[in-house]
Amino acid sequence: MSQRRLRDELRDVFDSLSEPAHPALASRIRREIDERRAAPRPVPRLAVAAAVLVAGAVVASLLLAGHAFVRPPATPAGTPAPVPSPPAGAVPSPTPIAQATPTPASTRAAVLPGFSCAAQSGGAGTAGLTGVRAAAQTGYDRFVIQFAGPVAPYQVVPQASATFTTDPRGSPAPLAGTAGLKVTVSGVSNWTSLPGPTDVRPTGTQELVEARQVGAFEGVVTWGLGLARPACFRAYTLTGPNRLVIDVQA
Amino acid sequence: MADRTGGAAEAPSEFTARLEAVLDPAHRLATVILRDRAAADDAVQEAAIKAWRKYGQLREGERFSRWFLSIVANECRMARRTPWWRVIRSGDPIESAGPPVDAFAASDLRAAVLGLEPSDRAALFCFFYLDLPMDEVARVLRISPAAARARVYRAARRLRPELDPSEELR
Repeated sequence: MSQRRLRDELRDVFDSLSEPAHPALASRIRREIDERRAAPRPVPRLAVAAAVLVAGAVVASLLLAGHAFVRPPATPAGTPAPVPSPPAGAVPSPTPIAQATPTPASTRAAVLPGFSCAAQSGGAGTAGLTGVRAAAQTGYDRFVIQFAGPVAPYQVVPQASATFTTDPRGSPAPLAGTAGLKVTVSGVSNWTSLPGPTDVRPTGTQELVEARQVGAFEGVVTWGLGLARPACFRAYTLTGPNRLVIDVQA
Repeated sequence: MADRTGGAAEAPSEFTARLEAVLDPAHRLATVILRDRAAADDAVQEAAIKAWRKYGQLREGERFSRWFLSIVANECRMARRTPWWRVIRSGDPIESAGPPVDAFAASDLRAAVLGLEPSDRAALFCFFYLDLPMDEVARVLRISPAAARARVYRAARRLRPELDPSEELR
């Protein structure tokens, strides 16, 4: 018997044995996805159990060790003051974007990281994103992403053009400028309903000519920064409120 | 916020469009494995939810249809493993795990197919009905290509022992 004949016979059999999806199934799935999309994602039970165990172990070890072994942190004389929280801008609002209040660079020069032209990353945990803003500062242009909790993991990668790829669609997103910085933040809890503007064109800036949200999918939010020309930058975090700051050197 | 980006707001519609294109073969695969329409509905729906959650993990260039069929097949396997499945299906002669059907004696190919193990039925369905190449069959069933080839050949020989052994399954 030939394979072709068996194939023909099996096709008839499987046609009668199997059934196509009922049209109602597609709408049932769509509805289910919409409902789950609107609802907050439940915390995995295993993660909760692990967290409880770890917390219990920490408490137990502290109790066993006793307070005698717990030393207050030393405060050596001459320790630099904590990193100030320079004003990165006004309260976020829909376009036009609020402008940040310039702060003399001399007050921050000693505590802020230096500019670099390589990719930079940092952050940890999960948090909601509460807004973005951009403004000109003295000697650099600043882009800020503000969080409701700790600054989520981020990565800032320079690129040679101002055209980005949207996530998840994959279509090109050309921004103003000739170079770019791709800012990727993962662990964003409210990626389905991000507040604030999606496209920012700050005034008075020299390097940062446009910032646009080019992706928001599965907790990963991506912003493209269009630069007038390739430039070095520094990416770091500040507190009060928690925010990711990207300064583009002018 | 994401309306103009093709991001969050558009992701579900893009996903569901791709899903609906493959829903029919997926449901047919589920009914071939489970032999129960309601159970197949549930398995496909659960697979769709899982696929939606893992959509970001779909690799560049990977076929959505194969990826989703693989999730459906796995969901069917899991459904059959539940103790409740054995309870409610124990009286079904089609699904009873008895000795293999003697294909010589089975004049009815349909009955012979129903007598196969669900995993063998799934392999035959993917290869002969969906026309998937053997490596795709392997991916859907989450086994090696060699195992997929052996499974298809073994099941085909059980249905039609006179199948020409010199003819390679492609």
